[in-house]
Formats: sequence, C-alpha cells, structure tokens
Amino acid sequence: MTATPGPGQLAAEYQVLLGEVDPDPLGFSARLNLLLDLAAIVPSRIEGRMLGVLAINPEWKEAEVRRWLHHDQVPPRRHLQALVRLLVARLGPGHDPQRWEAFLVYGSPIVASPVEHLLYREDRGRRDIAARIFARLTERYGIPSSSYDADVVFQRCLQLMQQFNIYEWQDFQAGHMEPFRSVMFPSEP
Amino acid sequence: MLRSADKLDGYVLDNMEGAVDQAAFLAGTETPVAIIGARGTGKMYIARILHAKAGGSPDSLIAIDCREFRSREDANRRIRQALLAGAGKTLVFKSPQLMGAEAQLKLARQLATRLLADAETPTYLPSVRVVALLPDSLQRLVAEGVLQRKLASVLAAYPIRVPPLRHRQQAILRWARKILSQECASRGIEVKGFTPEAEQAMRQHPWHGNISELRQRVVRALEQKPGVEWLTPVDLQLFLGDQVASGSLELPLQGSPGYECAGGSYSPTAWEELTLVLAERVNQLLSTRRPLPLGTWLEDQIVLATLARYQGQHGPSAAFLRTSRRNIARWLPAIATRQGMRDDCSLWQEPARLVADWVRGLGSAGDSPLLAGQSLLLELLEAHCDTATVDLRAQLLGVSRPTYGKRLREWRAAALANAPAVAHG
Repeated sequence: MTATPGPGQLAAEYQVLLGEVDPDPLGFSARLNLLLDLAAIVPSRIEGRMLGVLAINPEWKEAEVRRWLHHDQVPPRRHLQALVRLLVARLGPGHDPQRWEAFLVYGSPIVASPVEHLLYREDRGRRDIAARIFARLTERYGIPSSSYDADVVFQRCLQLMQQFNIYEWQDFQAGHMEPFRSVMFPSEP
Repeated sequence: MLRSADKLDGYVLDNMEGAVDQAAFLAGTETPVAIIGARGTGKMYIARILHAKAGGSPDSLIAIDCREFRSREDANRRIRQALLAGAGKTLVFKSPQLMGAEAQLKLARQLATRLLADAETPTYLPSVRVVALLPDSLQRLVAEGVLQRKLASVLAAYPIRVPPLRHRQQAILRWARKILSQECASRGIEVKGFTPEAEQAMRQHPWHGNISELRQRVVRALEQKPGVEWLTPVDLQLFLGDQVASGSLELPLQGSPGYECAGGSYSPTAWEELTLVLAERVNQLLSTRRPLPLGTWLEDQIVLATLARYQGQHGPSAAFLRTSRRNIARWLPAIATRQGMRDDCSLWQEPARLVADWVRGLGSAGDSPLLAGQSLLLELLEAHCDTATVDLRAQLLGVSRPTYGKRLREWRAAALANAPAVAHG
C-alpha cells in the first residue's frame, strides 16, 4: 500500500497534470449538428442553419456560433445546457438532456449514444421477434394477461434482446427463457 | 475470379451487432458518417444500407477510392468533381486516411462548413450525403498520425462500428452458407454444403480477413475441387496449424500501446499476417532444405493481385507496380506457366490469399509492392544467414547466387539510407 502523499507532493502532481491537458474530444460540432438535424427546428446545413441558431438567442455573435457549429468549440456551460434542453425537448419523451449534453461534449464510446435504444425499438423485424418471445414466455409459464402491463413488458423484452445480441429468431435459445422471464415478469414467482 | 462482396445482392441476415440499425437511423440525418471496421468486415455493405434507407437508388452511390489518388491535386480535383455532381447522391470515401494531409484538411473544411472550396463566391455544397470507410477508430487513426484531426472530428458524430466476424460467432455459418449458395448459383453448380468438421473448423478460425476471407476460401475450394459435393476443412484450407499461427499473432502484442483498437481487440493487418506466414514458410523450407522459389511466386502473386485489383487493366496495374505495361505483358506468360506449381503447393495457399488481401488494401503512393515483397523476403532469409547457405537462400528467393548478392547489397544500402518505407496497408 502506498503512503498518502503530502500536500506538497499533491500540489506538484497537480501542476504536472495541469500542463498535460488532453485535446478536446473529437466531433463536438458534428454531434451538435446531428442534434440540430434530429430536433429539426432550425434549417438544414445548406439552408442557413447559422441564421437559424443565431435567432435562438440574439445575444450570440455569428463568430462564436460558427465556432460551435464548425470548429468544435464547446459553448459556455450555461448556454450549452439551455440549448440542449431546448433541442432535446423536441425529440419526444424518453430523452435525458444531461445525457445528451455529455454525449455532445465527449461522444461515444465515452458516453453511450442517447439514441441507441431508439434504433432498436423502431425495427419492425425485431418487434416481431419480441412479440414471439413474449408469447412463448406467457404460454410456457402460464402468465395471465391481467398480471402485467403489456407495453412495459414488451419494452423490457426489446431491451433484453439488445443486451443479448438477439437479432434473429434463431439467436433466441432455450437457455434465454429463464433470464427473460425473470426480467420481463419480475413479480411472477 | 473473386468478385467484390459488396456487389452481390441478397446478403445474409446479420445485423452486425447493431451497425445496420445505426445506419438506418443515420440515414435520416445529414451527418457525415464514419463506418469503422477491419478489412473485409462489410463496411461497404453498411454504406449501401444507409444509402438505400435514405431513399437513394443503387446508381447514386458513388464510391471514391482514396487509395487511387496520385497526388494532392488529383485528390482535390476528383473530390471537387464528386461534390459538385453529388446532389441527391451518397459519396463513399474509401480509406480517406490514405490521402495527404492537405487534401484531408480541405475535405474536412468543406464538410464542416458545407461550402465548396476555391469557389469565387461562397457556394454551398449540393445536398450530398457523405460516408467514410475507415479501418480503425478515429481516435486511433489520429493518434497514429494518419488521419487529420479536423477530418476525424467532422466524421465523429456517431461512428458506426462494424464488428469483426469472430465477434459474431453465431453469424459465421450463416455467412458461410449464404456465400456458398451465392457462388454456386453464379457458377451454375450444386454443392450440398459443409461437412460438420468444416463447420467446426470455421467456428474456431479467427477470421482476421473477415467476410472477405470467408468468401476467398469458399471460392478457392470451389475452383480447386470442381464437382465436389461437400466442402471439408481441407478444401477450405483450415488447418489447426494455421489457426495456431493466427492466434499466436495476438500474444506478443497484448499489452502494447497499440493493442486496443476498434472493437476492443487486436486485428492484424494483411501485411502483418503475410509477414508471419512467410516467416513460417521460410523457416520450414530452410529447415527441410526444400528449395521452393518463394520469391518468384511472391512476385507472381503480387502481379496477379494487382491485375485483379484493376480488373485486368494493364495500364493502372503497371502504374501501381511502378513498372511499364510492356513488362506486365512480358511477365504474364511465365506467371501462367508457374500457376500449376503454385496451386499444387499447399504451403503457398495461405501466402497467396494474404498477398491478395494486402494488395487490395494498399494506397497508390509509396514504393512498389514488388519491392516491398522482395525486401520482406530478403529480411526473412537473412535472419537465417548463420544456418542456411547462400545457395539455398538464393533458391528460395528464386534468383541466382550473384543476383542474390546484388539484391542483398541494394537492400542493405536502402536500409542504411533510411529509405522511406512502403505503405503496408
């Protein structure tokens, strides 16, 4: 076990670290533009996006907005937070502005993408497999429909399929039945 | 001849661990997209999905192979042309990290601002979708100094990572069966399938060359064994020895700074695999004193792989090999006469496959691949200079003793002069 460093040593280490600042994570502007694309409240990139963003807050200068949109400069925290909350509110329910803020600054894989769960839910083929798993579990374990909220259970099933890398019906094995049952229907004995 | 995998329809049902979902999602945005994966993983397949989901027709996907740019001016000119004509299209930049720094920065600037470079008046780019296919994570390529930070940043919104085949164990046999059915259909033949031993061998193989390697092995088996009903591990050239060799590649590199890469595990480049396999062959042949002309075969294979890369065109092949068209035409008859010997030698099958992989992924700039191959083999032979005679080493290089001496002197002089290394892909 190493000895606790004294205040002098800590101060010296801190000064060294202070001089070793990592470059900013790649892609802040690209992710901000991606969020603007998804929120769809300002024009597209070739139709005057700059003016659209400037219109959100008349106090912003064109040069600083250009740096945010094109040159990876992160806006002051206060403005970033408000802008993200404004945009994320347009994405519909289930989006966490703080997670989006962290994703914009650091990107994936440091921060897992805030849209990952949406990708999976919208896939028709995967929803069909989830429905088959749902039906098989309720049949096998005799779970009555009055004992669960179908929408909640269905979403749990989709989430589990993502975690278990189940993309096709044949990926679902007999050994998956029990863990799926215990997560999808936690109140069932 | 092996066709490009991405030109075949009806790919196997394989979500590639979410890459397909992500491509479909990003198709609804204007974001420039990086598709990251080792060689042969199916990056172009993902690009096609993205393009199709965005409503693009097959002929409006334009592949721009950055390995083929001859100079900065050539790169800038061809990119400008593609951008200007890109309305409604998807431009797929293959290996943009192989472009020069200035060309990368110019492209980055245009993608970030959506303004055309060198225009007299500010001109917006047309509504063009941009995809870049890259062999490794953006951070790693930047750290290696091959990808400019600004270009990486433009592509860093939400990169799609295509996992290697060995990370999708459940998909290996699906791909194998699909590829077999595609290749049989295109040849008008019928093969019942793989033997259980072949399936077992396929599950255990590391597949560093991924889906492309799988296709290469199936195609070769069909070409070598016409009329076969079931494909065996021997037909697929999947021997335990090869698996041990491939696996052993990973050990010395674990823990090194470059070990972690996209997907969280090390994938050797084709050049690294070729180096290892050739080293083993040299060692084996010297210890058994079996004088196979590896050097000549290596040059044959490089020429053939180059011709395959350029669909048999002698002009671009000659330029790539830094030689003349006349030389190519002059070499081909002799290469053809040695074909039978090369095909019949089981020791040569793996190096031949890896040469094709290596040549396919090389950039156009740098020294001739022929020179790189020759230098590699000389280096491997000279590692045995204490135990093997000059005559035997010369025979393995496929040259006379005086020529061996001459090439050795040239190689040493080049090493001393710190000649710029050829790109090894």
